[in-house]
Amino acid sequence: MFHIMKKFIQSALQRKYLEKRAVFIIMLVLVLLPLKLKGVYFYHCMIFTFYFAVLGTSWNIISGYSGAVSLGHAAFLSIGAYTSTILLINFQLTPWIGMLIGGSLSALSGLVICYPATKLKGPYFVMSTAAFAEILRYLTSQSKFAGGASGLIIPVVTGNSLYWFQFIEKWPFYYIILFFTIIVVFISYKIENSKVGLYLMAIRENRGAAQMLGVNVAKYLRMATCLSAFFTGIAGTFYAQYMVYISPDAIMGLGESIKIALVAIIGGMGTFIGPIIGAALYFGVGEIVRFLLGAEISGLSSFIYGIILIVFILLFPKGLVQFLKDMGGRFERYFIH
Amino acid sequence: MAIMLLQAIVCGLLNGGVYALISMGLALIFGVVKVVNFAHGEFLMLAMYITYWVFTRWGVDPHLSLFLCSGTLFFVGYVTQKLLIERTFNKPFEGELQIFVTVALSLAFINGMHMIGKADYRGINLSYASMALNIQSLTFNFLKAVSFFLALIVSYLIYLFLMKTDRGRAMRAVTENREAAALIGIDVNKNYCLAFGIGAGLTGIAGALLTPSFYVFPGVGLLFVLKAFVIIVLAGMGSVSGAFIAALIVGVLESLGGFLIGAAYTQMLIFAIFILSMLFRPNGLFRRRE
Repeated sequence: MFHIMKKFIQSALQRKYLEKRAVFIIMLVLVLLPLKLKGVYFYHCMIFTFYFAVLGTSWNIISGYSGAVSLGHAAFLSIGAYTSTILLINFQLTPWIGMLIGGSLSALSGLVICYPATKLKGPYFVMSTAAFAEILRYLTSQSKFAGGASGLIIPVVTGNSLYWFQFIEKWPFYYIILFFTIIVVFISYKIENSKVGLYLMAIRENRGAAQMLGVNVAKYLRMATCLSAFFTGIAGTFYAQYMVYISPDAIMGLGESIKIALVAIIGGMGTFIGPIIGAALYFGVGEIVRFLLGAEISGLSSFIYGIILIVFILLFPKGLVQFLKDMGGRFERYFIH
Repeated sequence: MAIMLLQAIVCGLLNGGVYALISMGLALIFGVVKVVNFAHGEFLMLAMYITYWVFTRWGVDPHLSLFLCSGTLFFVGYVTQKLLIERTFNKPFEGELQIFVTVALSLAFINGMHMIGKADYRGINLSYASMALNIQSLTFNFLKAVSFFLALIVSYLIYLFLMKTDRGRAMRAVTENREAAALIGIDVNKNYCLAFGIGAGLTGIAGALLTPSFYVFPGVGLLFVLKAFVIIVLAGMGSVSGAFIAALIVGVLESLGGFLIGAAYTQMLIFAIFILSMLFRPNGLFRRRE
């Protein structure tokens, strides 16, 4: 009996079928979910988890694969959000196009970040990305054009509207962000398994050596930054349309950038599924802690959360996914033998 | 006009003294342990809360409680290094890990303070807080002048420690070349803990000195840590005496800027200093090698 079970698990674990089957099943579940489950809060959680998954995966492209850790991604996020919103308010431009324009603007500003990336080492670069995000936040909160510190409210029309990117129920947003997540993760997966990915990882490991071997460091860093910034900007527009309100405190600055980076770090910084797991963990643990502890003492949940974060980072420095992969070797060996 | 300029410069210098303490702490930590300490502002915040409570409960003057603060913060810094940062050594993504551990620590501190102290703004009022000295036609705020002189004394003590004592020389050796120092037999980890402790302690003193003139609330550290980072970038990370001078420079520039351009733009000025130093002197003004 036990022998039969072992054989079954062995065949299920056969590399080439496991991954494709798992992915298919998971996607099926995710797509069919809204038909079965209702509940506004549940959808909010899922939407935000996928939202952070998109952010984390985009961040991962420049920081995980290329090693240029950026604490300024909130800047890209907000450029996307503000661009589409301002275009919507002033020119009634559909957010879908505004999204693309916002994403492109983010990508362009990514080039601004790229210049110090090639010149500055380690902590200097990290700090200049943080400074970029904070400067943008400061400028936005002082600028009347962008709504200042009180932010911008996305103009609302009655009812559902595809043109205005507004829906009364949550499920359209759910599918949209799910779609974005699939696209970004797919692109990330493609990068990881391609020549470009290898170049980026070479740049991460040893920039000088990579350059010496003929890798055009500047070009690939630019490419990675633009891709990363583009998708982050698109996620920004999604946020603006979903939350119907953006402000410097909500999406700009160092704190928000850190959230984006955190998602990828706790999940696994150099893998394409890492950020998804990280987003689920970040949101899941956050909500659980808030649920269990939130009511009585204010700040307790965030405090415990910070502690959990520290412990987690120290226990799984490479992120949860990498840890599982390392563990997986031992798991696999038992069943194959 | 010239007098007002001079007044602004003097004011900036006085402010710069306290900035110097904070930045020297950060510079020491970054120079020796090579960690970007995002929790540095929270060290300051802790010291301010301690000073506040000790003053409100027992009436202890901040200038006395600075001993308590520096001691406590030394302990906090030492423990942070020992328990947290040491765990990140020799792991993959070490640099990023350290950044995130200090960030998480900062979150934990801020929220912990939220729990204990609530988010209220608190302040203390010293009877002699608004006393002013008048020399020639320049007015010095007495409190700030005292802070400045204490900062000078402490900075000089740190300078002596780093330059003249064996322990200090060991720390400088670790700053310059970690491996070589270990080869000579210097206990690198102990020096890390010491450096973190002293860095935090310096910030503790600054916190005690700042409490009479600043509101105390959980997020207060964030206001100062940005300036501290700009200062150590300007100075060249790792140069403690450079941080002192850069802090005075930034203090003066901030004050002059506020006087000439208007107070609302001083934040912009700080950013501008940061960007300019990144562009033109990425290694800082006072970095001798590299």
